[in-house]
Amino acid sequence: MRAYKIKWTVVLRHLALFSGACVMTFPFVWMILTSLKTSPEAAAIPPTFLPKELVLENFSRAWESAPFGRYFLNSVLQSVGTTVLVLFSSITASYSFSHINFKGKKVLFTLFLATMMVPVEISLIPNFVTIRHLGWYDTFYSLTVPFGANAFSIFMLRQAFMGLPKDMWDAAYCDGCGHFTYLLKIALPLVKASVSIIALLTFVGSWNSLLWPLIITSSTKMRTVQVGLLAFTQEAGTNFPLLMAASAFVIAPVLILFFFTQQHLIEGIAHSGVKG
Amino acid sequence: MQNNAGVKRREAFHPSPFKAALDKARPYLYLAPAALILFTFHLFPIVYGGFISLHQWGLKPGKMVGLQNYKLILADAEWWDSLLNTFYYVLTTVPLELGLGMLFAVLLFGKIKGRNLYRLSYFAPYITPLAAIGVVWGWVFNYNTGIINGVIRMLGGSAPRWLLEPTGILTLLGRFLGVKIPFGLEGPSLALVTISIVTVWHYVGFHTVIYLGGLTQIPKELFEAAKIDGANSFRVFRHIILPILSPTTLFLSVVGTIGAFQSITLIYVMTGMGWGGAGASGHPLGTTRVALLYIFEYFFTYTQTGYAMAGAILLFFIILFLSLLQMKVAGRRVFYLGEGD
Repeated sequence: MRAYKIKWTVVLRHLALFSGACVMTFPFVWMILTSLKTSPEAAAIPPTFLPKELVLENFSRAWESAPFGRYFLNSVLQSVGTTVLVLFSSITASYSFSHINFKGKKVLFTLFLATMMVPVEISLIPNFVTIRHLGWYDTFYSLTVPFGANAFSIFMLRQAFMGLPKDMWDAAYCDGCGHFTYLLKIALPLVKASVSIIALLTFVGSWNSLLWPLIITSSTKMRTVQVGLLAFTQEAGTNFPLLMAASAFVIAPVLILFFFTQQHLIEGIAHSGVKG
Repeated sequence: MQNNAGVKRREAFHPSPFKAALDKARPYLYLAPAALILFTFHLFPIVYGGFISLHQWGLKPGKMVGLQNYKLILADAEWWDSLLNTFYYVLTTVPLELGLGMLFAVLLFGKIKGRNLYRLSYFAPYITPLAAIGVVWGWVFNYNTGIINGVIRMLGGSAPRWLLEPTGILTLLGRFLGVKIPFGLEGPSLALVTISIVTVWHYVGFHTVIYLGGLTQIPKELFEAAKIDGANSFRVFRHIILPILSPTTLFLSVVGTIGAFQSITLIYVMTGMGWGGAGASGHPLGTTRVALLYIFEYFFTYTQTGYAMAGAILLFFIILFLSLLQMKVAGRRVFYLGEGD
């Protein structure tokens, strides 16, 4: 008989968690449901929950009514470009900080860390002015280079590199291995977990950014998906099925990426949060 | 092979002058790409920002005006309004994020079926781009055809104007209860509260995950000991979980407050500059214009770069002061594991 006894605390826990999950996922569900409806049905009173007929064309119509192909290309170039820059700059810098002794190491490392304290409200305007001076306004340089390095990635990779046994470098050095070869062939493959977390965080952060691309680009051909979606809200007006279809394909890449890398991504963000 | 390695080995100990120079320069060469970017775009702005704020600066630098920009901004009533809106925004988001985050974490902690699926659904909003979040929630809260008002009308209620509503939430509540709310106590506008709801929805997964991390650090023996002593769940929560999570709570409240001061993307997407525009579905008479949005408007719309920068620096010091205050006030109440009582 005991096996059939219902544990009320467990039931309550599930009830609370389930209703929480419903609220958290509802906007996504509603976005997809709306994107499949006709425009009159989406605005109908009383509202319908499931679409009466599936209008899959909303997706192709949304895609064609603004240059979303171009926006996607720009966002991919922005995100991949930024990620490549961050990986390159943080791998070399953190290796230098962890494996080589040199003059001014402490000062430089402190200065690097200090950049974490400079908040966005301080750097936004001066960076805009700097970009104008450099003649990078409305170019890919302005979308990628300013975020091509960050102290957090360098700090995290430095920790990973310092976790490698010191004897390993000594042995490699005695065998005639230089720093460059050692970094590329031996050290880097051993810290690839950290590298992939950094890549993931950078890519998602870059893909999701709106404010910077909004102020630093002006032409349609430089717009990223986020800026493009914002512009599309004015063009689509009250055609909510089209707007929801467009939102869906702006969200899709990150959600898919998240789904396949959830453990890495969640832990990475949890750690990056702890930095403050 | 053997021979080749031998040659290399000798080279390593007796390097050529070129190689010696390269070895000296190597650490700096490796640092150069990161240093160039970090110093130009993340350190230099402190100095440059201060410089800009002392000038009359439009699209191009103008003449030096000293503290004029600061005086002007401090004399602007709208700046103080925007600061009040910022405080409202912080107060309506951070406590809820902390409370709900902790609740979800406690519920998810330990053995429970579907844990991963729950965690997945709580965390998904946090990595979803804010532009799309603003658009989708703008549709959910749409006055005419949104689902929430649709349901309210179906049930025979009068539909609120959500993102369009500039009236204070306490005034609205007072009207509902038949109480007259005095001038100055209106509270944040319903439009701002609506954005706060979406903000909490977006961030709560982050708080949940950080709290879960904190919970896993609690030694199991503590729970067992409490059980043997006959403590009920509430007392376990009150006397074990809450104190042990207190450093996490302090951390999250500081980070959350800083984040709330800095987040304007959602507000911008949902109500434009607080006056409509952008992707705005709202036009709540500037009641959603928080301080950073005020700065952003002067910079982006009016190109008054110097003036906006002065505001940015003032905001920076306000945030800094509040963070230090939080740490000082809360720091005394925080309990650290392993610290002798």
